[in-house]
Amino acid sequence: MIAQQLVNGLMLGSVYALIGIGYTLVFGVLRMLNLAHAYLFMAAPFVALSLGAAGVHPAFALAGGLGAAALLGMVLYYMAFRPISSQHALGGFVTSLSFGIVLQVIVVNRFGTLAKPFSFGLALPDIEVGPVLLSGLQAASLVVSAALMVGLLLLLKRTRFGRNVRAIAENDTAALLLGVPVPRNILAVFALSSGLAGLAGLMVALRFEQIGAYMGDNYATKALAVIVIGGLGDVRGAMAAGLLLGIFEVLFQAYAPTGWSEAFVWLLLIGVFLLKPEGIFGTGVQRREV
Amino acid sequence: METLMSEPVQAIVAINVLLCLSLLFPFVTGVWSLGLPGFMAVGAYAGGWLTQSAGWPVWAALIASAAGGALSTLPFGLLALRIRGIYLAIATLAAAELILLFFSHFKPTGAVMGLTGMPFLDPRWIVAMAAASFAFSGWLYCTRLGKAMQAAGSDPVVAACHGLNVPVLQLSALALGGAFAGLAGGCFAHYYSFIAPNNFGFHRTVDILMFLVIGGFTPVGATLGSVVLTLVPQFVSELEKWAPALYGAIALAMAAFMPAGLVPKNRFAPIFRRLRPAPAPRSAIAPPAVRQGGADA
Repeated sequence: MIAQQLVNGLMLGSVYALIGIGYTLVFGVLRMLNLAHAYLFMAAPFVALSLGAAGVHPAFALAGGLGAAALLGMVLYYMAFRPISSQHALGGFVTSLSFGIVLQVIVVNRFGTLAKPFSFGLALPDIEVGPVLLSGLQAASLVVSAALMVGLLLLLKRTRFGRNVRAIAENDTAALLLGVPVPRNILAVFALSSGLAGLAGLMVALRFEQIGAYMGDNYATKALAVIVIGGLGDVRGAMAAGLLLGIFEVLFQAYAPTGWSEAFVWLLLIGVFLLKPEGIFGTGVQRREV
Repeated sequence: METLMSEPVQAIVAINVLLCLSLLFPFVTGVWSLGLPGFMAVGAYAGGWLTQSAGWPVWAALIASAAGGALSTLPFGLLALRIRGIYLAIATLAAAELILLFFSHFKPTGAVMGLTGMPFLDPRWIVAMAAASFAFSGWLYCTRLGKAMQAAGSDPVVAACHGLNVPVLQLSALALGGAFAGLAGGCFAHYYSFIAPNNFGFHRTVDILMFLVIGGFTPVGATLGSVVLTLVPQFVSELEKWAPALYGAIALAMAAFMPAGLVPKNRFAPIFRRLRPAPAPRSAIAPPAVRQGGADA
């Protein structure tokens, strides 16, 4: 029983982690919060749904959803972040939120507010490991997220692109002076982060077999908690915090009075802010925003 | 004109003005608090419960709403004194969610089913309160206290060096915002006679935040932004369902081309300067005048 709950928690946590990584990547390079992230998470399955309805092969429809999310991410950068000066008080906070709301309203007006069935008839066999029962999709999405997280860590640690991204996160002016193509890399980070959001959205859509215009809202606020607990801008932290949060939430739902699992998340978030604002993996080095 | 006279429109415009003013003062003081739905919920539930169950008259309940909204900012103040900027925005968002979670489990106010049966409040009173709040905010913004708040917002360190008590300013701005939000909540409860926790979700902050960003961070900007933007979808009926997207698109354009909003600080300064009489000529025995401002001074 507890093993099954742990696996369920891991499933939920991997979604949180994927969204959180996207958030935190953008925060790392720009020091701005990208609130449109949750709406890209929601947009990807809708694009896939439209493509599927137009008769495109399911695999291409899903890939199209993913590509659309990445593309929207780049548009987002040009519309909501590029024109904003770093002196603007609320920075990308309001603009990215605006972009997201525009997306959401378009989806609402096009598809309505009711949940839409989302099924591509991907029949995968169920897998039973000891006491744990996994549907094929669940197993696949676990494998995909695990592979992605390892791949991302390698990308950030081992490649030139990853080194550039870490350099920009540390000090973008210095990175620019040392010859890092900052704007191009930031654009790539947006594409990557939005692609991750889209992937998480598609995974959730495939698992629950229905999508709605408001499906992102809940995950988005949780992912906000994830990046704070993991330390803003810290990819490893976001992964760990996402997985932990997912497991804890499922355990809370299973064994605590109903409806209070959310309170746990919010209290944890505020607690981390007050006690360890640099996140669980923070080193205690504080940066001063000037 | 017919739209302007209709009661639901008046009520929603006045409530939005109150909410926008409630965001204004904390933001001006540099406290990026997004706890607005929480304060509004506290005001709405306090006022609603007092008239519905305790039999208070509406006016007394509205005072209690404002007081409740102001008091509910205290825990947010504790956050605001420790963290700032975007971090504070996230933390206050979380704190507001906690307040809503509390109300969706709190049995005496109906939990998720909501609270109903509050006496009706004529929207003309709400409009009057919004107008009074606007006048009060405009006055406060121009007083020494208002200027101190602006100074604390633009640079807390410099403000502290000039002898301003920045934490007290931030807490009082937050409390003032809470009072406005609580009042708006009280009006909401007594106009619609029904409140439930999901009336006070994040979506409410989103619209109000956009009104403020588009209007500008001044009392006139906040009021103008919320009145005009609330009215636009009422006049053009096809726009109703596109309203949030419209706000979003305008906010995006404004952030790029007019980052300070429609009515930034000192927007009307040139007009006032022209209206003011020319300064009297200095007497011959006065010390030489120090030239003011300008790059060539």
